[in-house]
Amino acid sequence: MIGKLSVWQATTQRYSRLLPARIALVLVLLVMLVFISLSAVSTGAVSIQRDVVFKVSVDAIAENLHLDYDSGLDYSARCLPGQPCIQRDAALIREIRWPRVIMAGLVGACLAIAGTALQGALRNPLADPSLIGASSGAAVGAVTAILLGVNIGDLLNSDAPALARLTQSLFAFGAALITTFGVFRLARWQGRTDSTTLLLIGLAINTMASAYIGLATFISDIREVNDIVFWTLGSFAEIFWRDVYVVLPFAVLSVVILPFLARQLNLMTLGEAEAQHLGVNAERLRIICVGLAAMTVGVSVAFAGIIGFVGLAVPHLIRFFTGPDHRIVLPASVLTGGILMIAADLWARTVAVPTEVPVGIVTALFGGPVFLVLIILSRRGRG
Amino acid sequence: MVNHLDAQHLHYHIGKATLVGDISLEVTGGEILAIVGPNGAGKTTLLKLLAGDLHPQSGQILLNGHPLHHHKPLELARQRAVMPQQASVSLDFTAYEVALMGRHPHIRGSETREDHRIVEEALHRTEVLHLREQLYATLSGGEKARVTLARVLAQQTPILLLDEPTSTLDLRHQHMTMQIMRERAKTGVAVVAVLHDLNLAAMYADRIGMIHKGQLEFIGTPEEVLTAANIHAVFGLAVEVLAHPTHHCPLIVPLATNGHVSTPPEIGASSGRRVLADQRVTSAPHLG
Repeated sequence: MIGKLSVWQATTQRYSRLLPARIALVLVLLVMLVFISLSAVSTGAVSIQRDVVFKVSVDAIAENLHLDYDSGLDYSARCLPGQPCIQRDAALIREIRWPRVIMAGLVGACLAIAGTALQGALRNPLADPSLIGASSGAAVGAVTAILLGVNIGDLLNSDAPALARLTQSLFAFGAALITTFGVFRLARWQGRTDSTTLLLIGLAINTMASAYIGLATFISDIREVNDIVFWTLGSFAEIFWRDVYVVLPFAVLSVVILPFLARQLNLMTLGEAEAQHLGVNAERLRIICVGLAAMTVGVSVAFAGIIGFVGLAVPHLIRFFTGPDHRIVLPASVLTGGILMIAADLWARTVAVPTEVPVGIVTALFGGPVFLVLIILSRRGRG
Repeated sequence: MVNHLDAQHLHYHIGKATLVGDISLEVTGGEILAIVGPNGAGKTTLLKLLAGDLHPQSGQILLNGHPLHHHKPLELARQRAVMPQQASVSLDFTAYEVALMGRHPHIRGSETREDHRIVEEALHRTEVLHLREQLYATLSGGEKARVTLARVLAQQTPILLLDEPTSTLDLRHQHMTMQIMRERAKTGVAVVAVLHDLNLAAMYADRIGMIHKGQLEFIGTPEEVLTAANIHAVFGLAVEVLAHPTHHCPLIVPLATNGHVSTPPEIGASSGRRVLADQRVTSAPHLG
């Protein structure tokens, strides 16, 4: 009896230590996120000192919140050729670099949390935002807009390039939702959704989408091909605050809702019927997860194009370190997705200055080998 | 603790195949009802209907006087626990974490010390406490079944529905499982267990329901149901029913010799051979 009691205490102690460890992990990831963001903002064609980045950012926040704070930077200092120029740097930091870095972080977070939610809800470690048709659907939408030459600007009698881009984004978002809904609807049979069927149907839809995009590339002129490449390989070039404001609410919605479903996602690993026996409304959980994933992925692809691998690999990476409990995997995925995407974008825009490598290539280039090593290591760990 | 499950005229078919045809039965707190019958007789389908996984095309199930489907999933999870035939876990959770999932219907926020205590106790009772830090996926079939049993026990429900809980277990743990069910029944829990081993049913069940081709052929005490004539009619196997040497219950001894089983009761039905095989090997998952 004494032995049994001590065993119980050991286990409760182990589980009571779990929470502080998890909080520590989240804090470490937060610090890393801030650090990589500041580094990314200070690095580029023009490199800016990190303390200037910090001060300009704090000033901008203070200004927006109407706080009475002044970092003491002299924005009106005269700019001399060959010297750092606060005025120019401040504009660069505030209007170009921060929106881009924040967008990269948001898209990384969106893709990672969507992947985690899908892998949990569909009980399949292969589930990935691109496998349920959301990414390829979005690309098909954008490519269609390019091919048809549709432009909201024509309706508004404006030829601002931003409006052409916005049109493509709208097409992409709409097509992502329609495709995911279609895949989900096709997989539904007699009131139930079989996960394997869902993924297979997603695969079929993906193949058709690739064929369509390939065909579109084949018949397009050079300028259109450049646009199409942007959508299929992903990029954070030409991202401004207005784009960030569109993506932000979707990201926040997922990040706020999904952690509440973490324990239910844990139960789903037992099987759908078993989760139901334990009080989970499996079908509703699946609809919420797939719906949120489709929205976040759709809006991500709409502004940044298809960026593969993050949604698939980040959840695996996190689980390798933390174990499968969604209560930690979800928040850790969000932060890690953001960190990795900011790093990938930083590399993509600085490695081949003055041109940029599509960020989707970077994530695949580094993500592939890391994923491979991870699979081999975790296989060994299981013996 | 209110616990009364009342199935009335259940009927379930897929296409033209009738899996459950007009079955009525009741189970109340304090008793173990064993469901026996040959492969494909409809035992698992019946259990799925009782669990609320499937909806009968006609008939209804009352849980404490209210239709089953009127209960919300979480509410239902506090009333009845279900042990599946085989349980896989798609991610690398430990045995302890899997058993802890049984506490879900009772947890608000996060687990308390009390939840951990209940899970420890359940794992201890099913003799898998020493495996608690191992990954569930790496356990043997019997160990998985005992961890799953612990998860079901940790749910602490007044009704237990078990689908072949002993099929992967060794002799000792088969009896351990049934003894746990007896203990639970003594505290007022209603237990419905699909069993393949007629002797196990004879020893531990208060009542036995014998199912054949989707129909409830016989229901009553072990002595009433487990007669040589009934078993031959349903399983197509000649048996002799003896008195158990130490327990007050029937003991079924198959009369097959030279690898030969008796002729099936009906033309075209060759269920006899399958039943014998079934008693040796764990059965594959089947729809019935």
